[in-house]
Amino acid sequence: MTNRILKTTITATALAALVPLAAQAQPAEVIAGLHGEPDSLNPLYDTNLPALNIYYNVFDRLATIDGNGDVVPDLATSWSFNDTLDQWTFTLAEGMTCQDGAPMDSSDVKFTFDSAMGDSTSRLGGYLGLVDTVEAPSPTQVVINLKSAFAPFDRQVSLIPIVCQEAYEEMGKEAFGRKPIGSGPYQVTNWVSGDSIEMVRYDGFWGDAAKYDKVTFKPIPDETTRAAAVQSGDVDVALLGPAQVDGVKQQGSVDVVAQDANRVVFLGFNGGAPFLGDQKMRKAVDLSIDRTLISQRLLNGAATPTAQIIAPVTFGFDPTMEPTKADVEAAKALVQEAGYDGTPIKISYPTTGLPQIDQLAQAIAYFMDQIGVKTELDPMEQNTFYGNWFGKSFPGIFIFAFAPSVMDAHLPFYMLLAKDQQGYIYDDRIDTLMAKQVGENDAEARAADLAEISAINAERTIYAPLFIDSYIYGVSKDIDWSPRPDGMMVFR
Amino acid sequence: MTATDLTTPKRRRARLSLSTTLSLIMLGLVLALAVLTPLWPGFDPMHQDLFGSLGPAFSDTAHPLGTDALGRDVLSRLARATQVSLLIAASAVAISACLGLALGLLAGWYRGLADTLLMGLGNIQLAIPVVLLLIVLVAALGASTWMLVLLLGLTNWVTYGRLTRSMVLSLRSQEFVIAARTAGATDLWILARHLLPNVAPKVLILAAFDTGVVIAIESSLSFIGLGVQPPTPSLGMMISEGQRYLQTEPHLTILPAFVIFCLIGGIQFAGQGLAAKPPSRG
Amino acid sequence: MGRYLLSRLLGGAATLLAVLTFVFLLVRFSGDPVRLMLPDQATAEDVAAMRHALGLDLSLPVQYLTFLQSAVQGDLGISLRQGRPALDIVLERMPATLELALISFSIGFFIAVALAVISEVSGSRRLNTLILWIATARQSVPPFLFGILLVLIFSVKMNVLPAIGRNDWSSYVIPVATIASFEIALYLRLIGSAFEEMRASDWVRTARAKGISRPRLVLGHMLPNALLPVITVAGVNLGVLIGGLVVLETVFNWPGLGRLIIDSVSQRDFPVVQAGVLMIACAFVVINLLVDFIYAALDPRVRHS
Repeated sequence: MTNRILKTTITATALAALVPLAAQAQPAEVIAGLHGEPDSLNPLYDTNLPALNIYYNVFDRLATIDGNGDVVPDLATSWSFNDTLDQWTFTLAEGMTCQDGAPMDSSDVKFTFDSAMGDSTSRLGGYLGLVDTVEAPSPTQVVINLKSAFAPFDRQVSLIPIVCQEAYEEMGKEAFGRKPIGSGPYQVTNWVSGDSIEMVRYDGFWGDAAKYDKVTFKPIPDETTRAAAVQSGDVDVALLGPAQVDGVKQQGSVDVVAQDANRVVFLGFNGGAPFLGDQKMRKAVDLSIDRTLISQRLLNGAATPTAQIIAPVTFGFDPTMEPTKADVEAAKALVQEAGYDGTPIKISYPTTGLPQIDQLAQAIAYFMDQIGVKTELDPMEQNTFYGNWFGKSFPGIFIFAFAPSVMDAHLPFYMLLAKDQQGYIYDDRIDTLMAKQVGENDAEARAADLAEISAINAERTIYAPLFIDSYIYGVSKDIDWSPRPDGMMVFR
Repeated sequence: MTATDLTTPKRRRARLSLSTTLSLIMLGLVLALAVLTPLWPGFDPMHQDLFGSLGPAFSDTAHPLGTDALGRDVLSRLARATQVSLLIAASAVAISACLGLALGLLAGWYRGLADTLLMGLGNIQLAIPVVLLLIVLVAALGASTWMLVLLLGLTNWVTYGRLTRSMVLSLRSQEFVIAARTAGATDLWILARHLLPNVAPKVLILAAFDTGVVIAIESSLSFIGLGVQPPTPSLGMMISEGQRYLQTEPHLTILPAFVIFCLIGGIQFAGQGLAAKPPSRG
Repeated sequence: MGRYLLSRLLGGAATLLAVLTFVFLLVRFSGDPVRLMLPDQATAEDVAAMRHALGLDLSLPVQYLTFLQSAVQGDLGISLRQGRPALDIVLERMPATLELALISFSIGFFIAVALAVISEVSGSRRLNTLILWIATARQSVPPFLFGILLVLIFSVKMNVLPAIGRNDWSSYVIPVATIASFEIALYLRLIGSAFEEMRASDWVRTARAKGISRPRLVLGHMLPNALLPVITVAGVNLGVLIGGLVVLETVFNWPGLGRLIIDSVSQRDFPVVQAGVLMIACAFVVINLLVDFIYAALDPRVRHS
């Protein structure tokens, strides 16, 4: 890369000569721009999104979620559960190996689960609170006993990347976190802090061979920089902000690919704050917001208005519910009925992490102003915001988003709506339905229970769902890559 | 030989007026923007109209400079942002200048321990990067405009302190000061009557330059989300909002950048005009 | 001179201790890291256990003394997020920042000196003014914006230079050009005004009268004298520059210390923030000590005091 002008010219000439072939020939290498840098690549400790991108390429799980949101086999070729949904048996394929050559079998699965559950500082362990014991009766069989019924447990195991026991024990958790050993198609070879994480194809991979010889992830937190990097060819794939899409299309050096996300952006209400405990007031706020206008004009079409806090790709989504249509007059009437006295209501939001969140917050404040509700913007640094989320200490309205990796409604509903979890407003009917659906082994009946919860949320406006996000990427014309609804960049 | 020709007073005056003219034009533009725009009947920096978002510049009389992503009038926002940025910079500089002046006077006059402490404090201050300090403080206390002003003010006094100190050090041995001292004037009297009036002009010039510097710092902070927070616009915030659209709507970035350019450039050129004056003797 | 330098050394050490203390207190007011480190479903007992394991449940003075004690032995603690020594993490990122600051500073300084000398040798007022105007105009555009524009033009539109990272020489061009061009105006002005003062001085007039050629006079006599006071300013400025690269590191995705510290503050990774700020302060102190030494070696007044 000593002379980029030269390189570009040569590539251009080569392309001109080989147009029909170029479309099929995949380059040997791909560089992906990642929105953040992992702290560690030890799946037991870092479960944040940047690290998950790496795990998807390096590790396998018992089962995994595909691009349509369906749960599909991974290490386990099949699984079954008992009638009470509290014992799950997974059958593993034979002859799988770790990247260090050791066999990958049920003992590694048991080791991963036990290690995560045995350490209170393991973030991964947090996903396994309902697991009682894990048994490995044979190298190809894993039996997991739960403390209580859990219908979507096959989805839950997709959160657990299986580490290779020998390597893990030999290296220790810190060293493993710098150069992890999994059983997936790529093996991490080098990590330059702040710059790149490199991985190469693992030839002994048990499944379909990896597409590329080498994959490099480059953490690029800044959106503008990321867009510049993909357009200049420094990276081959990068997530774009909605505002940049037109510019990137116009410039034309890369393809722009969009994917509906599993993420829903919504407003939450602190029911204990003045006026927000009143359903009328929450309804008024909900009615004041013109979601279509925000989606089309502000977010450049990169968002779809919705009535639920889960996305269509997530299990439990009810396709019949219509998003709230803005109705300023009705909203004004409700504000009056609620006896609102002009006290400003705070709108808290994280300053980073969601597309154009600062502008979105201003638009919402403006819509509320239109129905006579005074607001005060309350921007917070992202982790301060999370602190307030865990502490349930938002002073009024907050803008939040939830993107469940398992693509099942249970997790968001449990966290947001179940009694004494992270929500502010509870409903007994929801708790009853939650208890029912989690023990329901008929998928259709379970979906109906979950849809009913969404209906109760809409009836009481516990949350005001705004829209389903889209992930939009700039993708180099040389590579053939498709995005996933969870935003993971997978090059398998 | 040519050099002496070129430094004759006649030529010098011609150059001086060019720098000064340029500076006057640049600062005049900014001032007009900040002062006159609010008188325009269409002035409204807050009104949103999502239907008319990202309107182009110079095509609609209702929005002469177009509209931003939320459909707000860019000209009005530019004017308000200029006011806000100037206010922030002026307040911050006032804090730094007063603090620096006070500490510098004390250190220069009393010397000894006060002097050692001041210089030490200055070194510590300079060794901690302002941006990093702000990042930590914003994480701790949240971002508010007044905290920003306070921080920018409190972290920028060192230059003023050192300037004042060095001037006082040379003044204290001058005849009029010694005379006042022997006549039994109190320290306060000397500080207020003799030292301050001599030091103040230079501090004011430094403060003028610094205003531009602080505006630039505020814009950098806005870029990483630590500057003025919405809905209040500042020039930096307009740039950081606008640069998302740099490839399609460059005017959203270029316009506030141009105002900053005029402000900093105007002050600098004025300074060059002043510096080019023949040194007054006696 | 020995005493002068000794006092400077002591001053530097005191500065570092004060910075360390200040940062230690500051990060502790910035929020609790523990909740962010644990999984979503963690209980209050888990949080308490973690606080205890990290020593965050001890009283502030005890934490401070423990911290100082190990800091003196070169141990700045273990990163709360990465589990590795904070100093190692910081030292991995330090070269990128130092290198960018030093290269940009040197190039900017050299260009400023060259331009000042050229315009002084030529004796042309017009050239002098033109150079100063261009430098001033450049200085009137905030560096982060200048950088974004360069990236847009040379990486996105023309595709001749990389937009990000720190790889081969080509990836240095835009970042260095952005910073160096910003620095020029300051030094140009300092050296220019020193020249102007000297021009009126007796010794320059005498030298001229003696018929010394202009280039020899400027390069051999005026420049060395002009540079001496500039060095002190340059030292402080370089130190400040190292700590001020945070925003530009974000723009160019430069894997430096500034970005590391931003991330670590956001994650409340106290040991890394402490180590990072301390190393920046160290760089500042070392540079200024070097400047003091150089100054002492060159300036007879200091040498003999």
